[in-house]
Formats: sequence, structure tokens, C-alpha cells
Amino acid sequence: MIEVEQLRKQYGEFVAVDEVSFTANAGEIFGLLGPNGAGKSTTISCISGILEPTSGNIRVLGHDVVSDGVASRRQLGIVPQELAIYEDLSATENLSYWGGAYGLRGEKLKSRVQEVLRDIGLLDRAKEPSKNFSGGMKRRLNFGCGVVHEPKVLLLDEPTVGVDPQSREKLFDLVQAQVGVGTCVLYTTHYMEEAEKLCDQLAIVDHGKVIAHGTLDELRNMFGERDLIRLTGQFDPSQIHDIFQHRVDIEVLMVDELNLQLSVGDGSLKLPDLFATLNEAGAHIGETTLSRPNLESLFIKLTGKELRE
Amino acid sequence: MNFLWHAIKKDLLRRSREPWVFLIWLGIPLLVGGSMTLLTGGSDSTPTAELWIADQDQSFVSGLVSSFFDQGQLSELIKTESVSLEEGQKRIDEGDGSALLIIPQDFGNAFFYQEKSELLLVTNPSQQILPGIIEESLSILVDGAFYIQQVFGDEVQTVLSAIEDDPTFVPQNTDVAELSVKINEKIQRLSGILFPPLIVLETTVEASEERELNFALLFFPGVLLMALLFTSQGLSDDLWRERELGTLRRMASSPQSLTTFLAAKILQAGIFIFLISLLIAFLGFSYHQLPFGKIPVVLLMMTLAGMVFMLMFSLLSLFCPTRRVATLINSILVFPLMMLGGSFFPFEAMPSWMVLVGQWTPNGLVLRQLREYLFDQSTMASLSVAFAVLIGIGLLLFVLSSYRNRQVFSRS
Repeated sequence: MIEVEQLRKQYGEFVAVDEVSFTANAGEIFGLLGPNGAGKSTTISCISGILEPTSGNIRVLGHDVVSDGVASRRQLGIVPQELAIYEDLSATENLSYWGGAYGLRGEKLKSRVQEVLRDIGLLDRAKEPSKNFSGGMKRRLNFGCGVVHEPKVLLLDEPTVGVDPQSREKLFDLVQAQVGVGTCVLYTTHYMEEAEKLCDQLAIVDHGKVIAHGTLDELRNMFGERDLIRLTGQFDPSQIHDIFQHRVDIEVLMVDELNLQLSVGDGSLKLPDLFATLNEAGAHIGETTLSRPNLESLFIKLTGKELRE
Repeated sequence: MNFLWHAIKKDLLRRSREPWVFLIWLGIPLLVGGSMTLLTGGSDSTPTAELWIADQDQSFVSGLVSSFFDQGQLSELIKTESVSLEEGQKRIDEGDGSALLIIPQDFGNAFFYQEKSELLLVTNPSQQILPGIIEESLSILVDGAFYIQQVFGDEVQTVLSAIEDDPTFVPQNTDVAELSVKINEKIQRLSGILFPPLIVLETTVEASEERELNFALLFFPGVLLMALLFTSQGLSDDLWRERELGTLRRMASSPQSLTTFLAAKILQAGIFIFLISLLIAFLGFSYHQLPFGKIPVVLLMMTLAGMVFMLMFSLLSLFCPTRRVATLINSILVFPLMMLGGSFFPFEAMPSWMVLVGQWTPNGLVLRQLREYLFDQSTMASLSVAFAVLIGIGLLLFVLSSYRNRQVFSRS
């Protein structure tokens, strides 16, 4: 398991990770959800020992990553955001090398390489230089290199960025398989759908801070049973605030001259009334989207901005 | 230790997938070395001086001077050609030939009457050794003429006086006999000194193991160093490659030490440098007929030096902000090093100020040691010191590179 307590990483005046704390358990996927630049990768780098925390403690299976770095890193597998494979080597050679870097030798290494090749679907192209692989295949190999030594803790840093849908599904299966054997998985992403689909526990991060933390249901409850309505067009922000400030059934999450986002109970029933109110206020509505409450709604509620901004 | 070998094997595998790089590092020095060897003849043939003789006297004596250079072994070293004064001066001005000898008018008469006369030798400043040989030979000839004047001056004067008194003078048999007897007596007197000479110089030419050095042979160690610089510079790029591949960062998150990782890279480079040096050394030793027994020490020196050079280039690149800057800086460095350090031209063909600087460049220092060993000028002590210094510098560079890689480079 991973225990992170009051983690802080600072570069001069800039605070990349600010007092972050969470615990990820064995056999579950802990998600770090947040936009680019929120501090997710920095957190992963601190856990993996690449960066030294400015303050705070991190333990991997009880080993402190700073004072007992080698022991903690021995338990870790990492799948970095960018590919980290030798493209002039074959899949077998890549897996053998990374397996060897984590102490596997001889028959054990050979059998693990074969198992991983089968799992990531590259058994039939095992001897081919990986530079010939498609993007998705390289991603799968990148994943394989992180798990070849059967780590007890797996760090996945945005593993699906730039991956085609088919390969993404395959990667999800691979991650689930790791959880199935009791691995503790820390998964960072800025894709809300991925987090909702995979993660048992979630921490939503923004500007280096955890702004919400819990299971998916706990987080959804924070938003309530209200729908999210997104409108584009032309709006007067001060007037919008005025007309909705006394409406308990409608909450303004975010508004500017071109966008308006509202949290509305029974959104589909309220739409005619909402359009009429906005027309009276002189707003011009171009496009309307109504969605069920989800993590993105919560993120918008908590930060006033969309996750992908 | 297991991981060290594991990492070496991985890097060797990666190298084996890039045979063209290997061929380029091997090919450029061989191409340059081969071209220089061909351009300079590449054989052990003795260079020949060209002497232009402008004989303005056209006398018996001036003829003797001209024919002096065509005698015996001197004729193999100096080729003469009679030219007019204008033609001779034109040729020398154009840098053609080794020297121009001007024999003035009335040189013959001046010799007979023991009057002052000057032979003028104009040498080609672009040549150093060959004009010196001509000058030395001419000086011997002038000395010889002086002694002839001293010994047989009376007899010559007798004949000349008779001719001056009566231009139609025809010597009688008795005059000729008297003159011959006098000459014979002088020769008899001197024969104790001249035939054989009182001082007998016995020259024993030992079967020398020292090789005759020619341009191509002098250039050969430079070719080895050139290959070494190209290879070590190319190999030093690998840390940046690993960083761009993301594999360096992944390694930093593994339980293995980055020092071991770097050590594997250096040892892998050593194996690679050893192979390249072996190939070039084998070709060079075969072509120049150098003793093959020297190859092991040469290879050891090359491999150690190559690893040190690689560390030097690596350390520099670890301080560069981008891979492109690192490549640029190392390229900017490597060519002046080759020029100054005797890899493009042997030190013998370089101006003295350049030699002074070049011999203290890293490759110049190694080149000096290598040449001394190849040409039998080094001792076991000097060789041991050279190896100790190489190992010492290598260790220092390794510690610095490892620290920089561990603390900054792999983590940024």
C-alpha cells in the first residue's frame, strides 16, 4: 500500500504539490483526477523516488521512499506518461531488461517475459524491434515493462494519453488484472470517464491540492442528485447571478460572456422555465447540454472550471 | 554485478542494431588515414633533392663542381639539372626544387689564381631537410677545393705562369716529367696520411630495431586517436538518448543504482572502442609492418583513453540544456582537438607553436605516449605513469559524471 502524508513539493516559490495526503490500499485502484499541471505527475515522481519531497512522508509497503528508497522502489512498478522503452530492441529484449533491472534472473525472468507478452498481446511480434509497433502496441509494451517483475504497487501516470479506443480498453483490462492479483494501483488521469470506470477511491486535485477525496459514490453525493446544464451563447454574468441568486433549485456553477453552467434539480423538467428566464434577462442561447451528475460536475462545482481546461 | 552485465548486454544489443554508426566511426579515420598515406606516397622511399645549377662560367672547374653532385651515393640523393640563371631563379621563386646553385663567371680562373670568388646557393624555404643536405655537400666540396689549392698550388702556379708568359706555350717532356715527379713526391709524402688515413674510423652499423619513420607511419597513431575521438564522442550521446527515450527516468525509479547504470555504459563503450581500435590497429600494423607484439598494450591504451574521452564528453553534455546543444558543443570541441592533437597532421608537419599547444590536449598527450611506445622511445616506467594518469583522470570524471547524472540529469 501507499501512504502519503502532508506531501509538499516546491520549486522556488512555485508549489507543485501542496500538503497532499491519501492512502491507497492493496487490491484497489486509487485515482488521482485533475487537469494538466495539477501536480499528479509530481506526486507520482515523489512516490517513485525520482523527486525528493520538500516535506511530508511517503511510505510504500511500510518503506519510507527517502530513507529506505531501494526497498520501497523494489516494490514499485511504474508506467510513465511518456513511453519509456528502447525502440531499437524487441519486446522480449525490453521486458527482459526491465525484469532484470528489478532482480529477475534465469528461468523466472524468461517465464515472466512470456507471460507478459501473452498478456499484452505481443507474443506473435515478440522478436520484432518495437520501433515497428503501432502507438497502441508501444503503450502496451510500456505497460508490460512496468509489471514484468510483478510489483506489489503499480504507479500509472496517465497511461492512456494518445491511445486509440481499442488499446485503451485493452489497457483497462490489464490494469484490472493487476488489481485481481492484489496489486495496489495508483492511477493518475485527467479523463473523468476513466476515473469513474476504474477507480475504487479517488482524490480530485487542482493546483497541487486535494480538493475532494473519497469513493465514487461519496464524491457523487457531494454534488447531490442535481443535473448539470451547460449553455453556450451570450450572457451577462452579473445579471445571471442576480436572477438566480434566490433560486434554491438552480445553482450557478460558472458563468462568463459565452458560457453558463448550472446545477439544477430535475434538469429536464426545468429547461422550459430556464430558457424563459434567460430570455427575459436578454441572454442568447446557442447550445444546451444536460448531463447526469458526474465527477466533472463535481470538479466544476469545486473549481468553477472544466476538468480539461 | 548481475545488473552491470545485464545493462552492458542491453547497450551492446542496441549498438548492434546500428551497424551504420559503427561503420561511420570506423570509416572516417580509415578514409582520412588512407588518403593521407596515398597523398604522401606511403612508402619508405628516400626523398630526393632537386638542385638547379646555373653555370655562368662554363669552365673546366665549374664543370667539376656540377659533376660533383652526380657522383656515387650523392647522385641518389641529389638530382641536378643545368639551367640558365633566369630559369633557375624562376623555379625557386615558384617553390620548385630544393636549391639553385649559381657559379659566377671567372670562377675557374679565380680558383686557379687563388682569388676570392663566391658560389651562391639559393635554397627553397618551404623545404627544410633537403636544402640542408645540398648546403652541407657543397661545403665539403669547397673545403676539398681549398685543400687541393694548398697542396698543389705551386704546381698549378708553375703551369699558369708558363701559359701567361707565352700563350703558345707547349710543355716539353722534361717539364711534364718534372711536374709529375713533384706531384708524385707530394702524394708519396701524404700517402701515409691519406692511403690509408692515419685515423681509421671503423663504423659498425647495428641491426637497428628502430624503424625508418615516414609520413604515413607518423600519421598512423593520429588515425587511431581520430577513431577514438569520433567513437567516444558518439557514444557519449547515449545518456541524452536515454533521457529522451524516458528510459533514464524509468531507471531512476528502479531499485538499481544509477552509478551502476553509468558504469555499464562506460564498460560497454570500452568494449566497443576496443573492437574499433583492434580493427584499425590490425590494418595499421599490417600495412606498416609493425611488430604485432605491441598490439595488446596499444589496445589497452586506446580502450582506456577512449573511455576517458567518453566520460569527458559525457560530463560536458550532462551540463547542457538540450541534446542538440550537447551534440553541438562536443562537435565544436572534437574537431579542434583532432587538428591540434595530431590526428589530422603528424606533429612533424605542424608549426612549432601548434605542436606546443597540441601536445597538451587530452588526445595529444595520449598520442605522444602511443607514438613513444610504437617507435620504441618509451620506458616501462613512463608507460606505467601514463596508464596510472589515464585511470586516475577516468575515475575522477566518472565520479563527477555519476554525481551530476544522479542528482540532476536523470531527475529533470
